[in-house]
Amino acid sequence: MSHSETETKMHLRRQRDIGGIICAALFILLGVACLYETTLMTDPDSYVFPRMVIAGLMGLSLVLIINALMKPDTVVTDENASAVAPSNSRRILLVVSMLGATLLMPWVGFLLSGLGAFVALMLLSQYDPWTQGKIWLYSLVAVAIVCGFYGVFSYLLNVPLPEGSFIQFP
Amino acid sequence: MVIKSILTHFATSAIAATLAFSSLAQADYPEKSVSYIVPFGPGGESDVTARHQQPFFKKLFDEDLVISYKPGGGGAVGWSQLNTMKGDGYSMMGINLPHIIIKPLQKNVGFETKDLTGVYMFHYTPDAIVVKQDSPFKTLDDLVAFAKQNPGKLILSGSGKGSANHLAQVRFDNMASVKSTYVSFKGTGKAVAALLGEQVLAQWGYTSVGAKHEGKVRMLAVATESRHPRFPDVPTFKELGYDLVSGAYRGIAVPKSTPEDVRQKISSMIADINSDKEFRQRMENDGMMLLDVSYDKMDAFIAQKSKEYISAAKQAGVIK
Amino acid sequence: MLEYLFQALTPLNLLLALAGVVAGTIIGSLPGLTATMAVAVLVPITFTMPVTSALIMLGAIYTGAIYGGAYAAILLNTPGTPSAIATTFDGYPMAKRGDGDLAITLACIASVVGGLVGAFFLLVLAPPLAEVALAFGPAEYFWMALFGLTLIAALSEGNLTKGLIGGCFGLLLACVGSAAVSGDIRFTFGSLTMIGGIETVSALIGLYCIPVLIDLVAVSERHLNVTGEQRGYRLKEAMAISWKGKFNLARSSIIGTFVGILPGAGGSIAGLVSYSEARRASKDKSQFGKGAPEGIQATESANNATVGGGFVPTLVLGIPGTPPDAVILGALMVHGLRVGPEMFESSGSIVYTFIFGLFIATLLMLPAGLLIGRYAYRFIITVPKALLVPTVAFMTLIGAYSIRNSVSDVFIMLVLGALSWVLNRFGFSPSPIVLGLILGRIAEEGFVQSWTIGAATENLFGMFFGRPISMVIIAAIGLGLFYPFFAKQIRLKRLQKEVIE
Repeated sequence: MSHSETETKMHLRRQRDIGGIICAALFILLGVACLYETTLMTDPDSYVFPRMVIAGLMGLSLVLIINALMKPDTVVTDENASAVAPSNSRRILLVVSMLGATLLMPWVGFLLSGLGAFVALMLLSQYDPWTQGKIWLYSLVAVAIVCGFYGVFSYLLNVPLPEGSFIQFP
Repeated sequence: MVIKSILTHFATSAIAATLAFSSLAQADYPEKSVSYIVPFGPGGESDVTARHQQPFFKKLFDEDLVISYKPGGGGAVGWSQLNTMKGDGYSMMGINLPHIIIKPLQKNVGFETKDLTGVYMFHYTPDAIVVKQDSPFKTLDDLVAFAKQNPGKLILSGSGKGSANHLAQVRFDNMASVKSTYVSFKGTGKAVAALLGEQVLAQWGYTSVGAKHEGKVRMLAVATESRHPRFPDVPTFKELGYDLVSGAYRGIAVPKSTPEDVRQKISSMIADINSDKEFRQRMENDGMMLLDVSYDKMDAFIAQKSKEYISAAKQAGVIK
Repeated sequence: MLEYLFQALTPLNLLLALAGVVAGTIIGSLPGLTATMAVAVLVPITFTMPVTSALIMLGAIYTGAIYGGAYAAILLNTPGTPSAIATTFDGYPMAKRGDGDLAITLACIASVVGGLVGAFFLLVLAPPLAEVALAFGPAEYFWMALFGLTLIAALSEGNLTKGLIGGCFGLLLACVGSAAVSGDIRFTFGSLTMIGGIETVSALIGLYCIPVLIDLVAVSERHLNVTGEQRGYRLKEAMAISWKGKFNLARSSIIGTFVGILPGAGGSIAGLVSYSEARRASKDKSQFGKGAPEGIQATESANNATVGGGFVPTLVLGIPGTPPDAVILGALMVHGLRVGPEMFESSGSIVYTFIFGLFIATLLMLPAGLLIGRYAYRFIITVPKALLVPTVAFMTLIGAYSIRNSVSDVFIMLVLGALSWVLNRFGFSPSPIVLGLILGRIAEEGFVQSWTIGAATENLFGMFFGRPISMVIIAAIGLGLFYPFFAKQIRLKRLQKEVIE
């Protein structure tokens, strides 16, 4: 990164890699939990390799933490990289609606939960104002894509897509 | 009051529907294609045997047998979900021994052996000791003699741990009072590759290996009651003085909610396929042995096999 | 030999080859639909056909699917099949800067070249090459997996420690579920969701595609930059680049063929190994990972070369080279066909007709692939965001489910996706995790088996370090890891000399 670029393009700040430290600490915790699991295994074939991997994971995470604490200016964060602040709420809603659809799948079936997720994400990723025509068009496309894929997968490719235990289709 | 009457109405109609359904099912079953779930990935032996059955199902019952896969956890993913499926006779799943006996004893895998409603065991692929064509081991005695002189140095490949191959190795070592080393590979294909590439001295394989790789490998003994029709020259372990009859057994199970008459109907249908001459021919050509354990004999069969497998698995350290 | 070519050229076979390539390309382009599944679904149809036609169609589908995997890799940063993992490294950056069309055409040319090279080796050298597959024992597989893992060093330029941590995390993910050797169920923490382990393809969708979706929905800008007007296929430009990269293509195709021959290795490893070799051989390494055409060429030619390579052990030894080969082998058994070296002699007509069919299918992939690729590209750049995001998201759901017909896999895919996005924010990129996940099972299997054999023969050291092929791979690992340091030293020395003089 050249000096002039630093000044013109974005505001740069050197700081301690807090995020990295937290991640590394979590990896160490994960390692401890997994290490405990390996003590329940009886066959060496089952635990030798994972223990090596866990040792690597924990050791490297420790190295990362020590490094980050010793050298405070390890990471270069660029703030205001994007002109418009990205919407974190939309991000979270995307994950939540997809997870929700997955959890509902065994109850309402794939078709309905898939359609639900499709509509939810359509609303989430629309930034321009809705018009009457667009609503109709997009709804039609949504139904066509979901039903189309559902048909191809379950009838052509013989994929047994989940049927709901509450609501069923023939 | 209104609600109550609606509820009773629903209840009675539901019962009526079930009754009507079960008697109907018996008469016209199957009316549509039947889904056959293989709890392993495509291309394995469980898949191949299902593919062998597929055309004969169509030929005999005029409906399609649709094969799909639910692999994972060495079959556990599929079996743990079997009882959540509709018990209308249109879903069935392959079951494998010793898997369904050993797996639930190792860990909580979401099902117990008794949860699986087996309706038929239709074949088994017998265990066999396989060596390369040019191996110095000409007979089983040669192999045993080598193992006796070099404890632990007789290295055999095999498919999986807690599998038919592995348990056969443990039982055989006991019977012959030798100590051999078993190297587990992921699948029979890789175990054969290790044998052909001389990474190991011999293989605990199946008769299907002898059929598929004829000319490149020899079988020293097979674990059948009497000689395999495809290999009349290969002795059985029994003839040679080892009471070992074992292999990978395959059968078919249905969800628990499947009515009794449908279970029996499916059992007799699989029996029909098994007695088809051309089907027998094809299966035996691939080195498999046909087996007829019908629905009423399932419990006794599983109980007897459990006894054998569990004691071997304990010795192998696969289960506690 | 020529008569077999004519047998492959019957109108029925040509039609099946074309249909197979088109169907395969489309299937492969959808994340979650793999070549294995495409082949498995179509096996029953082949029971009504003559064996050669059936083989040609299955081979064509397989070839097409491996190529189709590149679309999603380039346009959505999601490998459509595991074989296309390394295609994302440079394909997606190219698409981001507006060269998606060029990337797709390059991928198509590379795939055709790779496919032809693989089929050529299958035609002329299959029986001797099969011996190579057998020379690879557990120790060699272990070292090969480690060699693949060294790519982490190249992929994590910013922070090596973080890359290595990601790699270890991936290796740990690979341990979840049924253990590679012992079959024990591990690291499920009592939950039935994880019994089946982390399925590779659904994990790939999660780790790569979900973060893209998360970032897509957060801003109103378009998904891909499109500068200026449409430039068609950009075939001339792509041809020129391909000609310039002919050594890269040849090297990668040969690597792909050889990795394909090794049972259990497959297209993903072929792509990764040749990517890392292409990077090492390149004069300008800094461009790799930022949209270097060489990266796409290396991966795509290598993964299509595994098709021909994988058929070598399948047809000669009856041991499947790659997962789709296992399905095809099963189909051949049901057709009543015995495979083996004699297939190339006595029943040669079937094998040779099939190999020529594979050639034809690969050649047909050029026009078919370019055309389908163009539509895929147009679709991605023109469709409005409010439809693109839900469509891709819906495909990740249905795709992750369909691989093993499991809702748990969808759930794991989403959780890994969210995790991947968060980790990426803190400098842990997804690629090392993926490398660990893919290579973990092979590494563990090879390690434990070598250990067992070494302990039994009382020669552990010799088992791991004393075998000739192992030594070659270990040398390659050493070269890969330390070459950059040597190169730097040499350059410094030269500079010093110049300064002194």
